[in-house]
Amino acid sequence: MRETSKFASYCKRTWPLHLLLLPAFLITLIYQYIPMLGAVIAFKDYKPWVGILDSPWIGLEHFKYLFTFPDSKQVIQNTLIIAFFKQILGVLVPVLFALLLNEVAKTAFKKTIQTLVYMPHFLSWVILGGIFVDVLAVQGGIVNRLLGLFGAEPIFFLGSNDWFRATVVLTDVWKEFGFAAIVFLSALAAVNPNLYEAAEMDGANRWRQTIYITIPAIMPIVVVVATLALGRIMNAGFDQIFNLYNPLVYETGDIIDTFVYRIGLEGGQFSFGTAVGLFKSAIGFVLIITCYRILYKVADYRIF
Amino acid sequence: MKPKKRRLLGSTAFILAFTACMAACSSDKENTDASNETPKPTTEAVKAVDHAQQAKIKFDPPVTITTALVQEQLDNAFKTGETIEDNVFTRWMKDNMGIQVKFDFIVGKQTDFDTKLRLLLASDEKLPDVFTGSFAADLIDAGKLLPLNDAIEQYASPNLKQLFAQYPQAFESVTRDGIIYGIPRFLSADEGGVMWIREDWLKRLNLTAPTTIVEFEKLLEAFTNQDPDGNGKPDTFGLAVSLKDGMYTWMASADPIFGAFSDYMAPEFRSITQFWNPDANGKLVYGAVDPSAKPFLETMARWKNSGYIDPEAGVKDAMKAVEPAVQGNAGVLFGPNWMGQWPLEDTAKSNPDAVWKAYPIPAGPEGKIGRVVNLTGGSLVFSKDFKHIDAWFAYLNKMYARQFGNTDPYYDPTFEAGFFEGYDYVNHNGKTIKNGFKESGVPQDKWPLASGKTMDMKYALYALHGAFAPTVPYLGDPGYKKFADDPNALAANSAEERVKSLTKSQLEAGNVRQTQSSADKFNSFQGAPSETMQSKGALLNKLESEAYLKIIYGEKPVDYFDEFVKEWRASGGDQVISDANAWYESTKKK
Repeated sequence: MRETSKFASYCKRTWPLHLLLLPAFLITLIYQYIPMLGAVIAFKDYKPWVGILDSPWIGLEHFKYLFTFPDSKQVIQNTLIIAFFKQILGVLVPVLFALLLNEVAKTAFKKTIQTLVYMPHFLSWVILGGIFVDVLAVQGGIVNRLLGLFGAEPIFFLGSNDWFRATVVLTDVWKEFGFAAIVFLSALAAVNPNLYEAAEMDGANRWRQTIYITIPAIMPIVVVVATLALGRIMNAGFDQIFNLYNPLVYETGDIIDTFVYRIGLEGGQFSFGTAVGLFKSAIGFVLIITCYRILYKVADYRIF
Repeated sequence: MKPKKRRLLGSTAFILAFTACMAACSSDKENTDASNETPKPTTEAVKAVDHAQQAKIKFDPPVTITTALVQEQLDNAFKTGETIEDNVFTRWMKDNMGIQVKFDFIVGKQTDFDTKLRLLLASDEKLPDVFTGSFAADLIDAGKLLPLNDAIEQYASPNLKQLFAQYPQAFESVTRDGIIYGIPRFLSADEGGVMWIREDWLKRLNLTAPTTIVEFEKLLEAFTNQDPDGNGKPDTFGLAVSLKDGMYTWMASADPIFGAFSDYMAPEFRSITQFWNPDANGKLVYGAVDPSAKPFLETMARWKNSGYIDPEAGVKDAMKAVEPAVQGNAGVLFGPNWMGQWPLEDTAKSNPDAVWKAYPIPAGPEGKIGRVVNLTGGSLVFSKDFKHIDAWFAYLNKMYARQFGNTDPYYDPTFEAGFFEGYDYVNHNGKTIKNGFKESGVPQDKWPLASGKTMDMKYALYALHGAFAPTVPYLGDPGYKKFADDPNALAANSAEERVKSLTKSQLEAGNVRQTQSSADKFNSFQGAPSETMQSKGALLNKLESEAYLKIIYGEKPVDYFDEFVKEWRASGGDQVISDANAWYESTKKK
């Protein structure tokens, strides 16, 4: 009796809040959860004019196909390697940059730098692809000219299997680090200045202040960003690779997404594409859960 | 914020697609077996209509034809106040032919068009009456298309029927079991590559244009090592070429070099359906794996190693590959005759002395010449519910009649000078002026567009033909010489009229091209991709592209070609060859 009335009064008190939540809840349900049912076509031989329900079941055929395809191993391996380095550097570089920028005293200088470095984020890879072909050109490209000043042989960045992955990772980091640093910069701005004052009183120099105050202060947000990045471990960046790769570097640069794009382009194979998407999501899901558990145990930090 | 937003956007698109699909499953159960019933060709003979009568036909009450288009943004397609739905030609059609054009959808990109069409198909909604047949094979499978055998017999003009009979291969991609489901959109077939050479470099080095591959190699050597631009720096090379997307691409292509060694067509790494050509025994051969590609690869590898060709050819697409030529670092490239204006004209911006001149493509050691030419740009297909195919043919006949000339029964003398005064032409001082209004002294208020530009009326006039001008292959060819000699000569038909509007360098290059029409090779495989082609095509293309580029870049020896062919055949290539030939045999039986 008492319980019910407590619940009733709770509802009475908070129903407008729930009502506010309702649209978001419905949108999530309709646009995020219901469509997941469409993933069944990964297990069917889907023909658009037959419909999802009536297309025949073929079980794990598409998944088998993905794994028996002679190139699959190479493609999955490329994806993991490129994505792994992108995610690692994609967190480390912005953190470092944010720490360095935070030490800059002049606001005007700081703001200018910050604006300049996050600009590339807004350029699409279609444009940047063309720019990088020029910048990294063997003959007359600015990078190879600089290397030439030091007596180095010109490097065929986009056509050499030794260099392609590094090129892809570094150009991606260059494009995104400024934008990614915004989160860390705002975390740094939120650190209580009293802590630094107290540390100074105790005789700590800038380095010690960074180690004992700044880094611990932004650690939680670094962990959040890193954990979320793990979910993208199967995404090595279609836009970028599609605009930079070529048959010379298929060996090291062909990733799952570009591979599926080429197969899909041939015959609009929806089911196969869905199967690959599902496979990627499943891996991402497992990785997020695992890492979250580990972080919870080790770093005692929880997001959810 | 960023990842969340992206995810939301992505999922919205994803969801939109799926909700439509979901909606579809409920409604199209009764239609699932439509694909199983194939219409039979009618046995009773169908008579052609009286064309003289049909040419004057006006449909009363007016007939509505719906269509769908990919429309790119052009600032010279319509006058102010006119739109694709309401313009001088749609009004003319309505008033004179009783045909009203309606658009089911207009999108900006081909991919959007395909998505829209797939959604209509998936949700079993009404298809446009006439539209460009993307994935025609699926549409035929789904039983959604109108069989056209009888309609062609009945309504196509005699000249059109003759054109259709001349190029039966153009119908094969839209033919199933002898039933025709589409009308091919013919191209003018005048985009075969010519050899563009920096004439000023030739003169400076006292060289003549090469006619054979051996001489061509000497030219490359000279352009690479003898400082053809005379600036004292070793900053030039011979051939500007794109190899990223295949040995054939739409400009800066290597296909004439391939054709000098092989009877087959230079491979394009995009699809396993191109290119196939019959050998002496009437069997289809996939050019990329034919042994004749070996000397080609050997030659290319040698040139690459000697620095005669763009060191980055393998990472460049066509647009990127022409840049060294335009910037004055490369002296030769292969491409269509129109390149004389864009992009090559821009070379003069940085090198005022630069002159590009077109020459015939060089012959190989056995005197072979060959290049890739496309005969059609897709087909038009019709919804099986379309009731007025007669009206559409009345329109098509009229549009084609301008190509066939005034003896065609559908020829309309009101379109003698052009379509509409003040649109595609202006009468001024007793002369018909089609472009350069300002230079010809036409007063500004009589210009079709305030900008003085020539109107591009493809969306107004050819909306019912997928915004492609109806064209007869090679028909404009005599014009290249005629107008190069005398820019004011009379055009015999609308194909020549188009040629007349080209610039002088384009005309000269076109004239060079047509002297070598015997080198033109068309893809002989026009069937729908077989199951193996669909499942293994991407893999085979990948093997092919890797092998070609690795050999040219010297990462593998030329003999690796044999190993590649073995692997290609074992990875599904054998099956693909037999599929292609099974299809080829089936077309012969008819």
